[in-house]
Amino acid sequence: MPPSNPWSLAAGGWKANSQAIGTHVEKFIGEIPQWAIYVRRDLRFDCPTHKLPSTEGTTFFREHCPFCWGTGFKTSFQLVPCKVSLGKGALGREGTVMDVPGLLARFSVTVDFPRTVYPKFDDFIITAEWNLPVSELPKATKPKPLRINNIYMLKQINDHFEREISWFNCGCEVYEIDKAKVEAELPYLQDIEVLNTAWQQNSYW
Amino acid sequence: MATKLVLVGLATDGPKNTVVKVESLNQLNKLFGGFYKERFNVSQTATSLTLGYNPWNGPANSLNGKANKLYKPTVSGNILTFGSVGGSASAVIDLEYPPYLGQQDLLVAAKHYIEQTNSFPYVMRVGGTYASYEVAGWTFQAMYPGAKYNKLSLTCNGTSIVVSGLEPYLEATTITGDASIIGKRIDRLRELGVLPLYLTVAGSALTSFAVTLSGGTDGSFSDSDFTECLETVDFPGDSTHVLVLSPMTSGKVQTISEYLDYPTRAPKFFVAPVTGFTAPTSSFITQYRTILPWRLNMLGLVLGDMNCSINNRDTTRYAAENVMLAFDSKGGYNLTNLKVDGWSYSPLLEKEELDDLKAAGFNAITRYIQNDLAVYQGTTSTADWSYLFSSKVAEVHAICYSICIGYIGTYVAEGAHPELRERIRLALSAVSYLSVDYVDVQVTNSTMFVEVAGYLPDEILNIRFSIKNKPSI
Repeated sequence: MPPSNPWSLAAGGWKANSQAIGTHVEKFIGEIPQWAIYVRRDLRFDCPTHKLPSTEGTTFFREHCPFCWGTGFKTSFQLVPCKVSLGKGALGREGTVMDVPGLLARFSVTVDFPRTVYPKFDDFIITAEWNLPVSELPKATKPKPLRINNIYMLKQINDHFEREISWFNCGCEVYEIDKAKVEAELPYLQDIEVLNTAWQQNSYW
Repeated sequence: MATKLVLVGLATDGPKNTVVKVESLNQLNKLFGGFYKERFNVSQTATSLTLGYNPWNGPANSLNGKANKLYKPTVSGNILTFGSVGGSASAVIDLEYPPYLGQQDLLVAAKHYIEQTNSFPYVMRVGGTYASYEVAGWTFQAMYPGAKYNKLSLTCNGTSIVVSGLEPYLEATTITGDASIIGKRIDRLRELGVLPLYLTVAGSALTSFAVTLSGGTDGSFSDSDFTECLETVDFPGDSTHVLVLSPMTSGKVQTISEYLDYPTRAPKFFVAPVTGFTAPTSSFITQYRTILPWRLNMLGLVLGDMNCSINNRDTTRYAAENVMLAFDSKGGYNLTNLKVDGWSYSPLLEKEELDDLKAAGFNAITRYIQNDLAVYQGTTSTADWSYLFSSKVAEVHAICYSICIGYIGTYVAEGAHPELRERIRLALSAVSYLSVDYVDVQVTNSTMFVEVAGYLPDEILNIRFSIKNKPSI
């Protein structure tokens, strides 16, 4: 089979380079998505201590709890590729009641996920520094978060399905949970599952 | 449009005297040396190591290539202690951590900014010298200043150069070729991000040598470093404030003065810490009159230190840093009631002391302990200029600049430009405290003149901070 382009990219020819360039290219590709811990709520299982029957649905205790992490539901963790965009968002002038157009314009933080992540409202993500270079995370079996940078809760989710590429674009708010207590749980997250199938998206058409 | 801060401080890697707008935390860490790597060969009974720097966090460790296998590693200063590694032979310990250079550390200030404001700051590294090596008409120089590049070794056998040694895992890179094209190959590998090396002077023929580069330092934010920086820097047009992470000296004030006097440079409001307060205030003021004879209306001096938490680690930073970050958080629209990230600061002053300092051109903070509120009285170092006025001058300038920059180099008809005038007027209407009287845009002799007149409240600004309680752990 002839190579798909002069550089044999599809055949992985660049990997065979004995110079450091091949390794460098591979690391660069692995690093371009940022990686975050996705904390997914499982709505089937209520937290025995933080979910009250009288406040079904939307009660967030924002407390430290290794079972629900303040969400009221059982949680699971996954290391997912994403692109966290920090910005100011759109603001009205001080002292005015002015709304801005656009679903995501009012969020100062937006996050893009590949389709395989399938984010849900009120789940949250943790951005952290890792014990490995970011470029090695997709291939790591046991990455370990060292220190939390920030925790964001997804508050608006837009899906974009196109033919080959599809992704989710989410507006986030800072999740006001005590970082010190979340960080105390980090040592127990070291066998976290890595979602590394992001590049194998299938077409539904 | 609101305030936009440029952080100026020390780092162990990365370009110096260049304003960088980072787009991810990883990029920030990578560029400015947040992933510093060290390798140690230790005996099986070893229980401690002396690191090259104080680590800011971590360090992430690996023992004989296996991650996280050190038993209970704890750091105190730059000493890492752990349980004896055991085994029957010597072991290899690899560590990776961000070095912490103290209160002047740029990387930590930027992380603090990102955590507080959820946006990325402009950052600029100051100081440092390049590691280099000269041989037989050739001069090799590291890509960035920094002591870490003193580990970069070059081996040449007369026909090819092998570059290695910068980091434990870095693959050796071989550059082969005629003497005339070696420079080009080094440039190409550097642009690909593989080789952190410049060939600044090329000789006619290669000779044999085996050396490591030398002379690289991280810098110390000296007066001459700062002068070199402000003489070369081009601040981004939309930046309004510059936070200098170094205590002010007369040399630095003079440098800022010369920067501001330069006619084609946009005015920025500089903010810098002042340290070494000793009571009574009168003797402190007298002492600083001799240290800082220059007073500038575009310079704010903030006294003291503040204890805060960055990435969940308790630390002491300049009060100036916390104050400026509070301005930038929440878009910087509300200027008088701000949330500062900190729970205590020093020196703690009485109202009378604050008044004395304010009259002498120093900003300090008083605290009403009962309700966790603090008051910072914004003045400039000339004392009779209001902080608000100078800060708004920088802001108005940045707005006009960001609108008019698009017309540089294009043909614009002579005469008045009402449409441009209205655009500027509209943008200025979002500036808090400023009520615009008139805006005029005239093009005369191919030069665009923008005139803005407005009103500001004529008083020294009182800024109230709510002080965060220290989280109980």
